[in-house]
Amino acid sequence: MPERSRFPANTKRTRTERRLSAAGVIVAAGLLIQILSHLWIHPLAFMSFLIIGTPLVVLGVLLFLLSLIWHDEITLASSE
Amino acid sequence: MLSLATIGALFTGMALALVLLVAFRPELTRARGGKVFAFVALFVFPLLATWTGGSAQMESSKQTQFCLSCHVMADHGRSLHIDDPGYLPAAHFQNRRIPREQACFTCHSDYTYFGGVSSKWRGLRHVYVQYFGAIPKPAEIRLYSPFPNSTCLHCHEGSRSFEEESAHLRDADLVKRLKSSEQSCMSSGCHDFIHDVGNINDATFWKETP
Repeated sequence: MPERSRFPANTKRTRTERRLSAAGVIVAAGLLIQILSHLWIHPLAFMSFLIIGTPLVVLGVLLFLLSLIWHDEITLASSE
Repeated sequence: MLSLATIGALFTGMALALVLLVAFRPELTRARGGKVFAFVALFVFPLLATWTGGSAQMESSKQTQFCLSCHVMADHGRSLHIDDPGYLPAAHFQNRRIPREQACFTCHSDYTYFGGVSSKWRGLRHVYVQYFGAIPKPAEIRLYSPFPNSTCLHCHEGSRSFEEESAHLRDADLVKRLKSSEQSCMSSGCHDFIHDVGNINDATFWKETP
């Protein structure tokens, strides 16, 4: 039977991958709120974009960047 | 033509699809190409989508419909249709001296570099009062600071109807005083009928022909 995926689902995820996944979920939640806020012209939609959607996206992006830094630190530490 | 809000929503939707792919298949990042893809999906696209969406939200928030969506502003919206040219907002709205779809924002905005942002900052205070404060009666709503002549002069300064208006030339220094904001355009006896929502039930209204 041919291999269907290069990375089978049962492959254990590393800590960095779990962080990437968490960052992705947070960013996705923020983007979803941003999309919904575009469907309604109302101050509450504007506020949802500003105080929920945008902070979630920024938080997710920061977690993504931090996961890269933490990943590098671990790699450097293990190589020394 | 697509509106900025539609473009913002479409772009954000595309960014969301990419983000979800990384969120549920982080194993993709084990390959070099996957790492680049994750950077684009989790950094570049979300920030671009937020910037595009923010611009779209700012544009949406300038719409008359946006300002009048709060119940307390309904009478101010009705005042734009008063059938009397002496009412300043009504005359501007009905004669298209301002864009009707951005009627409130056009006059209640500072024409400075960050004028739009500062207007929205004041708007946040409106939202706070609407949901957490004591909502005033429409007739009791006042500006935070006196209406600046600079907003009127942004359009009218230099125009013949302003510079050569007989009422403006009656007093030799009047135009000078208006330009230096020593005297308000809305002084008593001048353009002093504004929204006047306290008496709006006595007014007759212009019906816009479709």
